[in-house]
Amino acid sequence: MEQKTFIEVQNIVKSYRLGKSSIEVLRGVNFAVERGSWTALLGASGSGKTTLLNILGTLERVDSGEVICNGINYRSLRFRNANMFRNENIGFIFQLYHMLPELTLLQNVMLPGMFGSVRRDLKFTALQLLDKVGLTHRLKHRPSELSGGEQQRAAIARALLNSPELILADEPTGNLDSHTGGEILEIFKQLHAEKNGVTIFMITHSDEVAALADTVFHLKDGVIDNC
Amino acid sequence: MNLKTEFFLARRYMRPKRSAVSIITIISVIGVTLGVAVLIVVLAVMTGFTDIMKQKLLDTRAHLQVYSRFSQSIIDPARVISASEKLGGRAIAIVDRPALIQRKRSFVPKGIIGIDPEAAGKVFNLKEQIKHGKLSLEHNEVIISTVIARELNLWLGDKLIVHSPPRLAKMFNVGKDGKVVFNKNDRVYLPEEYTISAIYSFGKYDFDRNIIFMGLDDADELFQLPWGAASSVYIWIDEPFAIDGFADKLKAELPMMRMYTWKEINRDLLGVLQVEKNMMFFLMIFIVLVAAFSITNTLITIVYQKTREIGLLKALGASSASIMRIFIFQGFIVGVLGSSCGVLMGWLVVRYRNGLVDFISKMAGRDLFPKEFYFFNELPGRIVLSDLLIICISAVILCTIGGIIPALSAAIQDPAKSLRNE
Repeated sequence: MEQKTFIEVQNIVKSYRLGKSSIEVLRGVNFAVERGSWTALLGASGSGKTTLLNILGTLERVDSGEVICNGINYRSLRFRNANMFRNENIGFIFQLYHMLPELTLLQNVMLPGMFGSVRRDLKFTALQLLDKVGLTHRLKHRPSELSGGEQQRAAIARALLNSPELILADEPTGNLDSHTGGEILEIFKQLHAEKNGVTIFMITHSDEVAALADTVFHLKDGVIDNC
Repeated sequence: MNLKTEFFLARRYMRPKRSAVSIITIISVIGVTLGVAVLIVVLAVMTGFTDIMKQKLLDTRAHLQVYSRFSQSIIDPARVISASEKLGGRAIAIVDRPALIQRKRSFVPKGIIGIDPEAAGKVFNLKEQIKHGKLSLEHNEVIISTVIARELNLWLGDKLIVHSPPRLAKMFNVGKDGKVVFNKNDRVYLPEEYTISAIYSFGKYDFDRNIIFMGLDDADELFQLPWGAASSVYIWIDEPFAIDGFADKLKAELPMMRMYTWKEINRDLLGVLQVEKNMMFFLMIFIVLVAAFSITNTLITIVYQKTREIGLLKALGASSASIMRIFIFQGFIVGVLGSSCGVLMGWLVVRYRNGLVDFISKMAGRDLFPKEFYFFNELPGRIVLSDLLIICISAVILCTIGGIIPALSAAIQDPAKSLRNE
């Protein structure tokens, strides 16, 4: 039987060195995320939201505490394993889309698969996903030829390419106007509504966006404050 | 490893677009191209020059020289000639000795080669080298070179006074007390006088400067050798580079003879030419090395500009090794592109070298390679496949190494930091 809890974060601490001093960004964060749920993380700028997202995405390591995702303790992941784990299990969506300007839209979407161990049906899967986000007419366009909304839709397709179980989104509508942002949120709603849908963990500043989530966490002074 | 993906991304990053980086990349490729082209041209000219030197050596010196082990001369050269001909060689008897040419009151040392003119025509190629007069070595006739003619101010029909060292030596004895004693009982030897019948030029300066031809009988008489004897037998074969095997077979037939191949005799010269060529390669490879440094510069700029993209690739699952290989591949691609263009450019320059030299000479208003100094009518040049491979492989290796430092700096980038760097 599948575990209900997908992510378990236990008392994680993360600090950065700034010259001779040290800044503690996360001071014992604890929470759990259910499989297939949509979680929104709210917090002021500089509160450590992106740091927490990076830790969940294995891009950063904690100073202390435990992160367990899908039964795998991140401490057990060595650098190489972390790359593979990230490639196979996690899809990233960034506020600034981060598309490679040298590649076409289709190639950008195929990118995670190109670094993965299985390359079968890569193009077919990418085309399916681009169809899903309504971008089949833009396959050979470069990112510079696309609008912000189109780039973000392509970034969602890219994040879904390897069929990850976890989507980490860092303010995906933060750089878009309200209409385009609404279109992006529609896609997230569809993803969430699908049977066996992915687990979505999203950073946002917007209470309206947070209202769409199943769970909302507030990060304040380095700890989760849900009061 | 995702070599295909890494190579694909490396190619994409190198694709020229209108940006400063792509211009620097093109300059890097041009740098490698020039380095490789210069190396190819220099080594091709060195090879061509070595070829000409070897050809001149083979024109003027026998492929194999045979001497007696126990005597100053070969009494029966016909035996050696016969043994050589049985093995497929062409041989002639030679008297090859130094002599003194009297010029007013001074002596000029020269080498005398005594030959049978008919036999010489077959193997020595002398007839084709006659520039003035006609090939004739009758009694008391000599053939001198254009260089000697100029040096001693001589022309056809002029007389040449030749002193023979063995004859001079015979006039004196060294006593037990170390004093030189004049041989009173012996006759006084006079120098011989010869008439210049022809003037030759082999176009090989050291040979032309030294050698005077005369008839074999005259040479025997001059150097007091028995009639019909030779100081050595010169042998030519169809494949001069296979002379070692031929010499081994002849040694088995003629154990009493000493033999020297043209390679042994000219070992120093051939060695110097090879060393010069190696030295040229060593010096010119620095051009490619500088180009490799410019690749390092370019790639460092690219790594700096692509910090966020490197972070993204890592976020998407690319390993540090993958990132490293992307940038090393870029160095490799510049090396391959530069080498390919360099080979084409080098080949074109070597192909049209003489036209280029003429053009530059005309523009400069002076002859770049005066024939009187270099003894060739056109600039020599031959591209050797092994040289080409060594140049290209070296260039690609250097360029690939040039990508290592930027690749390392890309590989160690912290993805979280890179992505935050907006």
